[in-house]
Amino acid sequence: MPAIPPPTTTHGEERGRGIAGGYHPRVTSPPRRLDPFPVDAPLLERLLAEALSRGGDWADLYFERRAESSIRMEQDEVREAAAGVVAGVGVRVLAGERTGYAYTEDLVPESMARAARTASLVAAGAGEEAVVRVAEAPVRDLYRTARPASAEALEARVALLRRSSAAARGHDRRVSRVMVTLRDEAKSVLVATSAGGLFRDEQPLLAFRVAVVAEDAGKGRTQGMEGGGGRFGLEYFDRRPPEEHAREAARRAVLALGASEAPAGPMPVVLGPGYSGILLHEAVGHPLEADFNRKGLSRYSRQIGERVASPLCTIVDDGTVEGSRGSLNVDDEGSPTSPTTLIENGVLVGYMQDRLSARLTGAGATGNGRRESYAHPPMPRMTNTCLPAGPHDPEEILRSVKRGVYAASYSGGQVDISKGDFVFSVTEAWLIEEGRLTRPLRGVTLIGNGPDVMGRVEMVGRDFRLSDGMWTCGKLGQSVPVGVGMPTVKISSITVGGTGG
Amino acid sequence: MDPLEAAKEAVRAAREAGAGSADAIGLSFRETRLLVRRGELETSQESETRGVGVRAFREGRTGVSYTTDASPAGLRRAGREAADLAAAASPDEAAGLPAAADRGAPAAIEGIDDEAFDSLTPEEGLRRALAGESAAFAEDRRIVNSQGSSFRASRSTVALAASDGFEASYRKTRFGLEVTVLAEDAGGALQRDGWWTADTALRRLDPAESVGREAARRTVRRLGWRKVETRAVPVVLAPDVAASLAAEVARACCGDALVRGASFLADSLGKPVASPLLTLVDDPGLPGRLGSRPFDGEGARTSRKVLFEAGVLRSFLFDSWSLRKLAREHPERARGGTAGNAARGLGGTTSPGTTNLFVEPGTSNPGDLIAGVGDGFYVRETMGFGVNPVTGDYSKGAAGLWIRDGRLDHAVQEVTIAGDLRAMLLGVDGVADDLEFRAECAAPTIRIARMTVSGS
Repeated sequence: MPAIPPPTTTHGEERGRGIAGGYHPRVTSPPRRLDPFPVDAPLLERLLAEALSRGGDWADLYFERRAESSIRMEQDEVREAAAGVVAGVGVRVLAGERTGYAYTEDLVPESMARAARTASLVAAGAGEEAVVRVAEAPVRDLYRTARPASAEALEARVALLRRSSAAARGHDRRVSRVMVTLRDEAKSVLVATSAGGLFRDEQPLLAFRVAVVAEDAGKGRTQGMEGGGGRFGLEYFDRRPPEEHAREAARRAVLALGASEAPAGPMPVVLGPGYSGILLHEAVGHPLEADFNRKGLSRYSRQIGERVASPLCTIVDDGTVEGSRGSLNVDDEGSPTSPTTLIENGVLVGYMQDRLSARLTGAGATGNGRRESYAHPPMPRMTNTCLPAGPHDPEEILRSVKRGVYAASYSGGQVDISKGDFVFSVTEAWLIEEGRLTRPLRGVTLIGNGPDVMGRVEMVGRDFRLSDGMWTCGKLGQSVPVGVGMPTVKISSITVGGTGG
Repeated sequence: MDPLEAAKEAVRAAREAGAGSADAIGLSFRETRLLVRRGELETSQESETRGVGVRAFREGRTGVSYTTDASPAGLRRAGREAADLAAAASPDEAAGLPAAADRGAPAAIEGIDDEAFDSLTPEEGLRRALAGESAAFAEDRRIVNSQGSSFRASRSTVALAASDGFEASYRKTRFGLEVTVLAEDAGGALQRDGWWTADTALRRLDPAESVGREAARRTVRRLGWRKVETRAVPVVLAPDVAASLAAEVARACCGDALVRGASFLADSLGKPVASPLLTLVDDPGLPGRLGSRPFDGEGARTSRKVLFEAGVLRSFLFDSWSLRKLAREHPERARGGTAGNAARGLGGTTSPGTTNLFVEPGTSNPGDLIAGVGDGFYVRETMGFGVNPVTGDYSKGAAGLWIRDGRLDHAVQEVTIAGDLRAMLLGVDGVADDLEFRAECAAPTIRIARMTVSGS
């Protein structure tokens, strides 16, 4: 039976002291403190050595300090202003296929060494001396921000929310309730690895959301939402003014007042540009994460080189899209992000890797090792998952459908990675009749099987669009921000789950 | 860090910085997680975390701050920041601590903190995880792979302190085992399913072997699945699916949704909204249950609330803000309401939520509910986010078994079930007697007279 840590690790203190005593700073200049964390390179080296003290193939430290702030406005009133700071370090040890993980929020050497020892217990080897030397590596900058939104005056942020709130109410007299939320985080990250890597990154994230309730006597109440943001500060609103989100949310709420029952059964579906990218995320993204495939759990396991989608489909996960919500300069294991082609002209060419899966399968890192926070071990995750533009005119795509459904916006999706079945819930949908959008539909769900639906992609538009940043992906209990994008796409047949005929 | 002392320190700091009143939640959490896969330990994870979240009120303005920095300086900084942020908010007469009438001595709840947590060894957790997985493999030779078997044991301490003198804390343990396996059909296609057990007491967990066997049975039952033709039929919801429907309905019973007009039940207090067979209850005081708690997220007294009594909408779930706000804006909707349902995490203020939410069991045998259906759908799983609490539209992906001539027949997948929540609730024509509290939210088998199943 492998050795595993007891709930409270109290032993090993002595050895911890021994290592501390054996620590000699290198010659010349004193070690530099790696702000905002109370550590320097020699301490990181000691902690990594402690993590590998029972053997193991890899160890890393993930320091995180997240300063968050949010403002919630409801009916033009600031309902709440909030701020918080969360900080800690996670220690991971990989030994074969095993992972040991522990973390602490006490960023003092003794507590961090204890976490390293707890993680080390997953490796059952004899305690040989591990020597690690780390050196800081440069990290590029894909984020479009001079400074995080929380550094701006509270009044400046409140003014943006007021503009948005007023625009939503002014859009239509049937708008009865307007809620606007602005959240931002400034995340400082430091990754140190037993391979000697030391990476630091400052990751901004801004998320703006407007929710509108519309009310009409006789037609009841409906809601509409719109969100946006990304790796930005407040300059995001120079690109897209807060009134736009408001009008879009209000338009959707009012549109839903007159929406009719959705049809049921298989029919052609046209996916609108941008937001529909969540179809890729669910249908092919998750099943192409390397951990599922390495373990033979995915519908796409052992299918590299095989045709898994229509030749019109190329799918790329790209963590380098400037400013996008899913982008990162460096992933949470210290690998630079990259554009990774998953499917090329319908043929499966690669998976999204983290270090563990890459090492076990002999693949190269793709920069997809991500985690929710220091309290979570990393795993392969998507960044920005996209289907690039194709050859068709979007108008022509619509005209080609006699009767079907047009899906424009969504509340979310879900997938069963083993079978490839996915579902997604459509918040703005239209009936297509004789090539034209005729009436809005309510309560539309689309259900299908990944390879099956991707094989039915019949037309791909020229109008590629990246979804504005509003998606958060959940996997095995961990949430991370992601981006999606695609052009208008026609699927010859997919099951529409409505109540009508 | 002592969570209660930390919360008190943060409240003191908020008051000193100018807050008229303040409260703080102090949380600490410890967890061991072990995941095995194919007979080997795969991940061993130790968590030990804590934090404090402060709310400060200044003339009806609300500011919130939170931190994982449990040092005296960190706690004081959080208290001060909450008070400072309050200055930026708008005055709201409904904001503030719970009314004195909603306070009260915390209830004593038996059996939610199991001392077995202290003596539990990782070896015991590992033994259970391995036993669960190997029982699944042994149950059926068509089980070809495993996504893993995980054992978790955690204890959380929740403390609350407020400037009106309220202070209390409680501890709660949670143990769980979950097994997820894959079956392969003759053509090589994979099916995945699983089963789990969870409880506040280690001794009440189902034996690992029975969890593993059930995971295997559920997974192989998916083999040979077929899509079905689109049509409207009676639908029988398995207990877990019925429980998730109850949770969706409870969302529409929450005070914040009522204040916003974002609930299809907003105008229905006192009216029949569901079949007389349906009684829906939220009860935070049940001994030993996962959702039980002696006081809510702002220290208000908790109480049993009957949301639907024989189909009639009787009460809503409130935190103190939504109760006061609704009483001002729509007094008829707040009639008879009490606070005590505040959910609260580290960051942000409170919002109403459920504790132990359950549908009262009926008298039918679940087999009889199925036997009473000629052609219909027995739903074992739903997928997606297709429930709109504002309009009542319901449309979800579904998987389960087809019912033919009153018997469970072939597996069904890749279909959706859709309807309108109002019609679905009124259309319940059978409630079985098989209620089991396997999670915070529980229900017996429920039959709905008619829903649209969309397939081929």
